Amino acid sequence: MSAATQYYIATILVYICVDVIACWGLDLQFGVTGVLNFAFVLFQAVGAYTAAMLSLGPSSTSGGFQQYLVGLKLPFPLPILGAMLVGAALSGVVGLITLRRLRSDYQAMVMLVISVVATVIAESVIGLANGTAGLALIPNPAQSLSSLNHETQTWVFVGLCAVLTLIVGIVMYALVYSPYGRVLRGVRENEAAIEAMGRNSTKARLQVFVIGGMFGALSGALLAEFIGAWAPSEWVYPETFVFFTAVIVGGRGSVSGVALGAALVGVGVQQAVQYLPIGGDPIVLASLEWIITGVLTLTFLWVRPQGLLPERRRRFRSSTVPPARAIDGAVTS
Amino acid sequence: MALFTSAVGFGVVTAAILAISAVGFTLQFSVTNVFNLAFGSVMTLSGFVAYWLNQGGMSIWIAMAIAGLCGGVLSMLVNELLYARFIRHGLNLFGMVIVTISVGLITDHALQAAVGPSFFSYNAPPGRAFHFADFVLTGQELLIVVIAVVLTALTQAGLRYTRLGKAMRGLSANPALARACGIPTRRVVALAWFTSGVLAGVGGVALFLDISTFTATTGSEFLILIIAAAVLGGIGSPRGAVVGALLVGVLTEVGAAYWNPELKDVLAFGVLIAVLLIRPQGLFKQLATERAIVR
Amino acid sequence: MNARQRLSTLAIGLAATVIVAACGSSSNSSTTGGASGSKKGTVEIAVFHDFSGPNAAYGPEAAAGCYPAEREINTAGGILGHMLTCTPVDAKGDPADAVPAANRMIATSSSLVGVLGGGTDDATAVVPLFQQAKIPIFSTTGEAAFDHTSATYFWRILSPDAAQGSAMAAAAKKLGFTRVATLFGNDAAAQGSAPTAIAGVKHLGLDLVANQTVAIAQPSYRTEVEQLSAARPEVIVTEADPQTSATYFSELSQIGQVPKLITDPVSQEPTWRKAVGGAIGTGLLNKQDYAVVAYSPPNAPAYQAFTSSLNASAKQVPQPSQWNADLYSVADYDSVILMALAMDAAHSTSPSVYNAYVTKVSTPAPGATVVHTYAAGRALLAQGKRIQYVGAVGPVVFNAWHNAGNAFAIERYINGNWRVTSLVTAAEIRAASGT
Repeated sequence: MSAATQYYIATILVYICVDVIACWGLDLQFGVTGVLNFAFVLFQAVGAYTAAMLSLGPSSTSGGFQQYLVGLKLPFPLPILGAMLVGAALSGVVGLITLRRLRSDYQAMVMLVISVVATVIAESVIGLANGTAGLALIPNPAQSLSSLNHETQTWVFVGLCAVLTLIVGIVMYALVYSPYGRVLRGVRENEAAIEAMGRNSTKARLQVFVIGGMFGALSGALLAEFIGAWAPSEWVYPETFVFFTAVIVGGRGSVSGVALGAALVGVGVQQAVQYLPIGGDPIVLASLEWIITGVLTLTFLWVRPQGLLPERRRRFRSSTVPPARAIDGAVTS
Repeated sequence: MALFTSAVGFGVVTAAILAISAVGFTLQFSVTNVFNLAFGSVMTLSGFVAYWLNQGGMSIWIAMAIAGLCGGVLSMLVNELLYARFIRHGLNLFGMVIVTISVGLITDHALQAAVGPSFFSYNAPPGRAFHFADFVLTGQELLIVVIAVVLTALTQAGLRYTRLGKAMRGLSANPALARACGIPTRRVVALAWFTSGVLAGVGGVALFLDISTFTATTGSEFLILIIAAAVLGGIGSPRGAVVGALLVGVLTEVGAAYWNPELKDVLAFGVLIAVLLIRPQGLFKQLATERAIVR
Repeated sequence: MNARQRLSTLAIGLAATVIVAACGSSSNSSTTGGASGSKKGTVEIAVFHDFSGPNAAYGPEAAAGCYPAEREINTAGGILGHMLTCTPVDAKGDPADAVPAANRMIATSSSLVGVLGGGTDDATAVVPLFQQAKIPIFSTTGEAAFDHTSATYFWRILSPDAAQGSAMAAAAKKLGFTRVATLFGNDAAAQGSAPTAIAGVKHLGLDLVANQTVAIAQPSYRTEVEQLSAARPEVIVTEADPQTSATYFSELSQIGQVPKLITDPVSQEPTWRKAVGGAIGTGLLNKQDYAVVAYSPPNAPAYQAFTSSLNASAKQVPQPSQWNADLYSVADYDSVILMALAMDAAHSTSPSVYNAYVTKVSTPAPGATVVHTYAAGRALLAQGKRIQYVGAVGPVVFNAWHNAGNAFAIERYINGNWRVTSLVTAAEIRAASGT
């Protein structure tokens, strides 16, 4: 297999890992607990910027053409850990502000607006993160881990992403399929009942907001370190909806389903449409790729609205109560 | 002071353009509870309909009216053929957002494939200049303000005084009860989509007139400002949408005048967030409280 | 579904994704079906720019430079017996999408020999990829990031934005203006030339009456317009995207006069011209606009070759004449010719081999014959002679960081054509940059 093919596959794998981690974070917030976080991409962005600034040196040393707030040149794994911390902290702040006893769609819109404001600030305040140009020359931690050639470094990074994905997956399974997970699902389905049982639903929402935000930030850190660059164009507010699509297509609330959705929607469909044997005008071709993506999403939602691997719902049989009707995944009402 | 009055004056013009679309957006959301992110695409399509008519020699103002009608019919059709079917199929609010996004994606890119990445402009003379105390507005800008005032007033009056308007408010407040009272839900929902589509169409043409040039993706690019205005005013309240649009329009101009033109958006959005933190449901009272999708 | 079924579905789904990618990449696809040429296969140059989204005009712009060059090269017999194909690839407008697209392209095109790519959107992310793959990339970004790049496969034949900004300031002085306003959008591309333009105006002792940076794509600039107008500038030195410029200047024209404008190559792009011309009237625009661009003598043989090949390429380039004056298309044309000549000089189409020859066919040297077309250069190289390709953008002399500088000219659109009215000398630019 040629080096180029290796890089391509490595890219695909890294992107899958990044999307899976991000979608798990969103799934915890939205899929399991029902928090409509329309600002999710902001947390990925914060993680990316933090990892970048923690691993870059002071602005004069990284090319001299970019300005940013701070450059600490910390070694691996501190930038990634720092990114997760900042993501968690920001999620906490945003969550405290927005997760009140609000109708969920109002919460969603406030968060959407927060995401947009953040984009405007990042683009206009040049000294923060180099404005619209964004940050470049972000070092890849694999470079410091192994002084071998570039190919090996790439695979080391892929390995790192895979390990992190596995860890996050284990945490997700532990959270979602546990008594705590039942509380979260209770918050989603019937908040009054959960409160009546003595649980604080707002506190639960805040917790998943922070954990989900941390995962989002982790995904951003990995992506920024892989690409080596991070700019506002990568986290415009519609990107959040790509994650939502992945979660819904995969099966919200289900850990394996969301992973599948992330791989398919984030990477699979986009790559697959490029292999379609259509020639002709490149603008038409490029537009067609987007159109096919949209059509595929609609088809998924029509054919299988509960998602590809829907959430497992427990059914309780009792002699007096008739068996519960098979309830579709919580995308349907 | 002169700076302030002119900023307010300009803000009113921007507000007028945003208000038309914001009222449409908020009305449709309040009646159908679908967060329609394809709204910008409807604006763009209507804007192009007006462009083709305008190129054929029609006055832009008549073209605007026809484009509005097209927007209404298109929205109504998309709902009948697509959104309503998905809702009947069992999708709830969150799934519908994705549906509207996909529809918007398909529409925008189909249009871009058809017309190319080029920029277009209307043949619309700016009209004579009207001198106010410290600023100048053109006849075109004033006419847009008048249109905005008329349309929003008509919408408000329609909601308050006509039977169908009351039916819409009833549906918005309590769909089950409304159905039980014999309100023809499907027809009312269709009318809500039609009205919001007309407002999207007229709003799209007004926006394109104001910014003087547009492409296949312009409507979607400005959608967030419209949503901001609608949310600030209180999503679901057409009166609120007007006030929200006024605030957004005036704040951006004031921000440019007194602070930093680069950050004019930040001021408007910052105020928006502040208002939402204090009063998350927006400035004006809603037509409805917690409820599910309207079938 | 039970747990085992779910896990196997998941595994199959993930595996399918990776297999689709791998299969696609290991197939030996020679994409948009170019002529397979004599006995040897085609070589590809990728046009890696945006073909969708808000900057969807960049792709066709670059293609309008590639296809004429392809025609020239293939008519002259190809490159070492290989025919050339231009392959458009969508960069999708942001680095996160451009990176997999670039990697996919590198993996699936075994006949890829060069790239026209690296727009401001994605250059910092994709240039390292082509550097790693050892494929020359000729980029149109003016970002300062590449002023001192260590990427040896990166080539830039247009002046960086910093020089462009100084040239605009120098032009303001040369044209005799004293009251100067600057107006730049806050996007990365416009902000490239803003600092040196503003500094240049000050260094040259001109009166900077207004200095505005505006948020792009706003519904209204009326307040900014009023402030600028109140400062009564004689000329506005400006760069902003078509949308922003059209809205701004339309509002400016509504409250009074649009003063003279000093613009840069962006203003010669058909999208900008159409947007702003549609907004304020093409007559007024042409009357007021002075474009400060790389000096490309219109009756230069290379430029003639470009325009005639371009107009003959209507099948691949819709409405070809709209790109006649687009500096980026012209530069891309020269870039492809340079790559082809470098391959001829190196007697190899292998990118890692011919990369070193790019300077050998472009740098002036004693005994090097100046050529203006591919055919002429190819013929001389076949005889073992040394050449210097002087293209449609003029001589291309690369410095140690593979940046080339251009001479600058002031052009005006008169009677349906861009005409050079005066030149901006290197000394004037030095004065503006304060060196």
